[in-house]
Amino acid sequence: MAAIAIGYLVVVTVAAVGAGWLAPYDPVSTDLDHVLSGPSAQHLLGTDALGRDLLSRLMYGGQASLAGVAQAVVTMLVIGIPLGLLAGYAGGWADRVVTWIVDVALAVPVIVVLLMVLAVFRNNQTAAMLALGILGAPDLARIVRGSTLAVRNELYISAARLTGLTSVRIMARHVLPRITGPIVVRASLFAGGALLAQSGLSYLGLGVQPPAPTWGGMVADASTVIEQQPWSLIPPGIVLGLAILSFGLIGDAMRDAAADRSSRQVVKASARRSSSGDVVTKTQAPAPVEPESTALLSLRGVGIELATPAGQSTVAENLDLDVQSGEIVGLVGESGCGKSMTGRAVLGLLPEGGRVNAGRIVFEGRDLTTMSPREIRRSRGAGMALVSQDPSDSLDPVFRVGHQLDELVRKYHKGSRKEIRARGLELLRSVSLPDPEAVARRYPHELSGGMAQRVAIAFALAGSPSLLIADEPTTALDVTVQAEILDLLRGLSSTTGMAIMFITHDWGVVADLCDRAYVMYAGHVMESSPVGRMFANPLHPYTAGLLDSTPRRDVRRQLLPSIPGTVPSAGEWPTGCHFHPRCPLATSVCEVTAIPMAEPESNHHTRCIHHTQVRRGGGNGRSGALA
Amino acid sequence: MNGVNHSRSRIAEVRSARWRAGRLVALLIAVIVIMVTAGACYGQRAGGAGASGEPADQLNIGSGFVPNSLDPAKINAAMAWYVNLAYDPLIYWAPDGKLQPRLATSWKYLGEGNRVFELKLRENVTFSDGSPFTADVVKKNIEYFRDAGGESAASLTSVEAVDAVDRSTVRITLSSPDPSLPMVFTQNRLAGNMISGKAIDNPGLLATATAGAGPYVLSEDETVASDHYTYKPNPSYWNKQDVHYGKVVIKVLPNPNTALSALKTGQVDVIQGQYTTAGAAESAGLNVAHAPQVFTGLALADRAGELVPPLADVRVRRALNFAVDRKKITGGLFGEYGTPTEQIVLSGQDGYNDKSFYSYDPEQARRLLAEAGYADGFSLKVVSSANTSAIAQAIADDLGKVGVRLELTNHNDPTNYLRDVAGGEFAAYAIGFGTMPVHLMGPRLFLPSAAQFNPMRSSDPSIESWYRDAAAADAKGRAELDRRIVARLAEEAWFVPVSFIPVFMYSSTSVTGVELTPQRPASNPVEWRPS
Amino acid sequence: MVRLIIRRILISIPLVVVVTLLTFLLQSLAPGDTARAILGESYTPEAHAQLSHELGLDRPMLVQYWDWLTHAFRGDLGVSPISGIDVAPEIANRLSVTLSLTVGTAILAVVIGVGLGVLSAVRRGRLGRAVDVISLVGFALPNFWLALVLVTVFAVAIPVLPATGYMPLADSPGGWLVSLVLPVATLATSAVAVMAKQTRDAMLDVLSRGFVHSLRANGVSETSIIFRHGLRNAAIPVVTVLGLLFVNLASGSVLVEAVFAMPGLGGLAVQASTQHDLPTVQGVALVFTLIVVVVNLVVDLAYGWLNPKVRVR
Repeated sequence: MAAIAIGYLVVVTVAAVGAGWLAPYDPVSTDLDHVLSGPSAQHLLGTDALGRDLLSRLMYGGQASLAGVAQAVVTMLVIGIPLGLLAGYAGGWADRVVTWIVDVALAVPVIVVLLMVLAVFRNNQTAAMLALGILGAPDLARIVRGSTLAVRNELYISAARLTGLTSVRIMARHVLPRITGPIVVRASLFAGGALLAQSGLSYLGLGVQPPAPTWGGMVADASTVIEQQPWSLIPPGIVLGLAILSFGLIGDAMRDAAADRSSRQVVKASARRSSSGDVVTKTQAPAPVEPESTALLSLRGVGIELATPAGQSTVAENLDLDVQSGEIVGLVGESGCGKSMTGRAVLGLLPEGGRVNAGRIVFEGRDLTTMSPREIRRSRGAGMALVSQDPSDSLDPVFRVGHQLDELVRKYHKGSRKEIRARGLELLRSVSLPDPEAVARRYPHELSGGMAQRVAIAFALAGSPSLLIADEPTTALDVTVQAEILDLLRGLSSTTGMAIMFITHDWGVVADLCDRAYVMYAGHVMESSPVGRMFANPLHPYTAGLLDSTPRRDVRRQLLPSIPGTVPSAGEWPTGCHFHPRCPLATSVCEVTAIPMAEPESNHHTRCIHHTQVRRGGGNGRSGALA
Repeated sequence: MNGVNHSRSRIAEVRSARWRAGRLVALLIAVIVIMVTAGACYGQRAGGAGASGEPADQLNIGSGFVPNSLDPAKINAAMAWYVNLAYDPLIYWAPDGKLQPRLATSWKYLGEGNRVFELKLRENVTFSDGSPFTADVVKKNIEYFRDAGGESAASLTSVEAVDAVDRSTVRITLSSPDPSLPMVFTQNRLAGNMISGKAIDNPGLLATATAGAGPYVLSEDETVASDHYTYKPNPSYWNKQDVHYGKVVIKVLPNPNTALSALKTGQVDVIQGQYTTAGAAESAGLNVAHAPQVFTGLALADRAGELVPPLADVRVRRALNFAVDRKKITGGLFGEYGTPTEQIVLSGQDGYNDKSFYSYDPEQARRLLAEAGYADGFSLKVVSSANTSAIAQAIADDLGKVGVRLELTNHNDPTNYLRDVAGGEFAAYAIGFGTMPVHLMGPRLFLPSAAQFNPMRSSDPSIESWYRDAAAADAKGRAELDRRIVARLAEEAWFVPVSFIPVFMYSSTSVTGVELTPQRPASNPVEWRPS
Repeated sequence: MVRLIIRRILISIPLVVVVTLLTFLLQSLAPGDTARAILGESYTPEAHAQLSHELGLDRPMLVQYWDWLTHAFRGDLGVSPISGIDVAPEIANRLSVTLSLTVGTAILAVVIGVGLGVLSAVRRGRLGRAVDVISLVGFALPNFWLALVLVTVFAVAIPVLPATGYMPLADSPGGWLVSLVLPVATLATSAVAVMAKQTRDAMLDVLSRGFVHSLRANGVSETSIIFRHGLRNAAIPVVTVLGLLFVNLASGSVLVEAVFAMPGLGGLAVQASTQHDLPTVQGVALVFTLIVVVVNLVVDLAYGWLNPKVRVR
């Protein structure tokens, strides 16, 4: 789109600048024998009331329009950039003065001033466009100031200052290049506005005078002969509209480009689609058919795919997972292993374009994958609920806590306003908030992180769910608050019999809270067992590696070993065992064959054929590899 | 578009929201349908009104002009309708060009030389504000008009004294002869439109209210300035038979195309037309009246060459007259409605010369320019108005072909145009001037006292002496002198007249009496009646 | 709240003074002057000098400004020397036209623009792209051109609507509505485009927030999520845009009023500034500035009301 827009503007500019050579006729030469002719072979766009060629007038008319736009934009840049740099970089009184000028300028009635300037300078379009540029400059200054403030305190600027560069040079060499993005965006949008203003004024007959053609003037000419030749309204309108559109499109594209730059890495990575992932899926042995589980939640052979710009991408496959009533189950792994997506798949809340592409998710005896969205929604809240990671972003900021709680409670309890509120306060009390009434009156931003997370838990409890999916609910909290929240969750589970699926990467939390744990890596469950056994005797090298890289209280002043390498992105999974490139025990078999789940001990599953060699404390066969 | 990235984490399941959104769309569509239907109903109502001949008690007029003021002493003559409805003139200018008694029952010059003028006044006339119409009030009016600086003031500069001889007789003494006072006191020359004496004492109110002895009174409650003006019958009007409607509304419709469509759909009954819409109006079956009146072309203001020395040479000015193709410009711009002209008066009018002064001869033009020493041409600044912009551009193209370059400045706002015409910065201006008796044109157009349209105070001894003689002469002698003045203006090439264009009136079949004649190329809403 | 209002008003006073002083000085530079404009065809240098003196135009600029300011403070904007009409009531009359136009457009922009924006945020894909296209086209069409096209279609070719003019609400509510249809449609095209795009972006942003996810997971219905939580949160940035939009509408109405021959402030601004009608130009500039100030105040209040984080201040 942006390319087309630029192309169009180039064509218009060339046509205007080169009108002297390219235009078929003299733009002011009248031909009174052929007035108001429609499009014809001699006059491709027809003629006006004086028989002048419309195409030629359009081409020449572009000169005044584009010159006006250029004057306004250049004026705005010349005044706005230094003002903004000065305010942002120097700060202090300069900043205050510039900010005040911006305030004044924003209150100036632009159109009235332009009319006055045209009266003062006798229809001099240049004066009007310069005035427009001056009036537009403060707004640009505001933007430049903001960007400069952001850049000013970065390290390399301080470094440049220390090397003795003058402020002017720092601004020109180091600050300016960093803030060109927003400037270009603003300039492009402003250019569209300037073109609109220029043509509007020439439509009113102010500015460039006849017989010299202007686009706005041509619209005005056409308006007087609507009865005789309505067609003549079309060409100038279209040419003008497309030019304004082009400036807008370019501005939009620039802004998008700037916004995308930060996330480019991610997009690129996920855009590349690995074929190996597909191969693995295809070579996967079919999930063993197991007897109907009696678990509260049971996942069997579940695969999850998400939409990426490059197409669908699998983020988890062949998942088997059970949560019994009242049980607290940990789902452990590094970031990007598919833990959260597993939680979302259970809730039926995968991002747009995502879906469960294989297997069954059975909750309370019903298969969620075959239920309609409406039924799934009904199961949320009452059946299962969510507590998410960031308490500051898990409550609607614009409603009071009590108000939001009322809405949730009302879903599950009929009753008067008072009864509803009472139930809400009861919930707040149940999450050990000291003064529920006061909390209910507050807005989310008035709560501390720990309080907010308690409130979020209270929200989740509103429907008395049998399963709570807790997605790293303590990660964003202080250590002491973490402990309180964990105590709360443990207590709630034991008093209400609510099961918890606890998604985390923190082994301490797992040890503290969970009955059983699943370790996930690159979309696969690698190991599952009761927590005690997993800590004592991990059967997967990934588990062992993770456990070893966790600080332990009993071994001090020792460098923590870590697992070399990083988790591969979805779609870049290796063949065979997904962990093999980082595994100290990997053999050639691991690189080719999909490894099935094994159950070497009762209730202790592992997806590793070398599980017998797994030892904790860096004793994984090749000693020291993890040091 | 941050949202697009964020949106990736959005949820697919939105069925109930879709339903909700669908309802919203339905609501929006309903709103739009209601608005359009309301519009259509309005259109039908308005359309039906014209066709079925709405109860004849309302007349709707479309005017192209927002009146600068409603004060007869200040309003522009082009906007006379706003005044005509509420003010009766001393003398009535009838469609056949004759002058008829109105508030004055008779008038005459006393003695020889057109220096003393006497009016006999109608008795028992009261103004709409209840104050009486007397000789004293007439005296007050004439002095007010003379001093108010409006368009009619120029015709009253020679008024030395106004005396109320008795309650119904007024005598005007002039400092110089003026044969045209009867004309000056008609409805269209404005100065005859008598204002209540009480109102003249408080002239500020006259800008937005009326205080005349005419058939209607402005109803301020039903008026939105600059948009529409509503007039109700004047209960104390002396001449009830001239009141044909229970209500008259003048609606401002500045765009000729939309004015025409308003007439076609019956929103208005009468509008002023112009050549760009005349064909469409005729084919729509409307009554189209027209009469030639306005000469248009260039006025070469700088005849002494102060700004543009070449213009001082009569050969150069004549060259410009030879360089324009009058026939082609007239045909191209005005079609069948225009008449090419080289003089500033119409055929049949006093002062008309039955001969041709200039043919279209660019060769001759180049020769004259070369003789004058300007073979390479020259350039001059020209100012034009909305109505003369097109002809100025057409003339510019023709003159360009003989090397004379016009630098045009156009003002859509008449005030700015008039300011620049009189400002002395432009060597020439595009002119559209409603022709009138030569004597009236003198102080407005070609005498040194015509500050507005003779901004460089060009003077020509023969013209001035003929003009003086004509003022004191009898009708026959005046006709001959007028002819000489017009011929001299053409030979001296003070102007480059190109075309006479008509004034147009369009009216629907529900109205009669909307006529224009060469004798009186202006129509008066007071004459319009239901058919 | 009251303190916020008072503070904003106090800040606005010097702003209004500076802006009107700027326009006053600018106007005083204009060639030709009020006295010249009044004299019209009866201009002579002597009359000009005398009239200038009578009107006080020969005094120093700052004295004249101070004179104007002190009168304006008492609600007296002077008398137009061109038309002899009192400026303050004239502006009040015309303000009602311009406000009918701009407020009508703003309402339409909110109803349709927000509706379309929400719709396209919820149902992306083809509809989202359609809203994108609509908003681009709306943004690009020069409003004076669009106005002419609408007039040609709906008033000349298929005459169902009055092409020009204005009917006061008090005279005829139906006529008022009908006289506003075309001009409002013209202005609303771009306004709806802006609102739809802003609403869509804001909604998408809100719907991607963590709390929306939590609400969904805890069983809140989609209707409530979109119309209660989503719209309410999205309203915060949208209100700011609406304020800017309204200020732009006031400017945009100048051209639209010209095309539709509406007796509004825009037409007055054009007429007065070209005629050197200083008191009227000053009055119009004052009113436009006040509109900006009032709109900013309203936006601030609405912002505080919508956004509890700001409310506490």
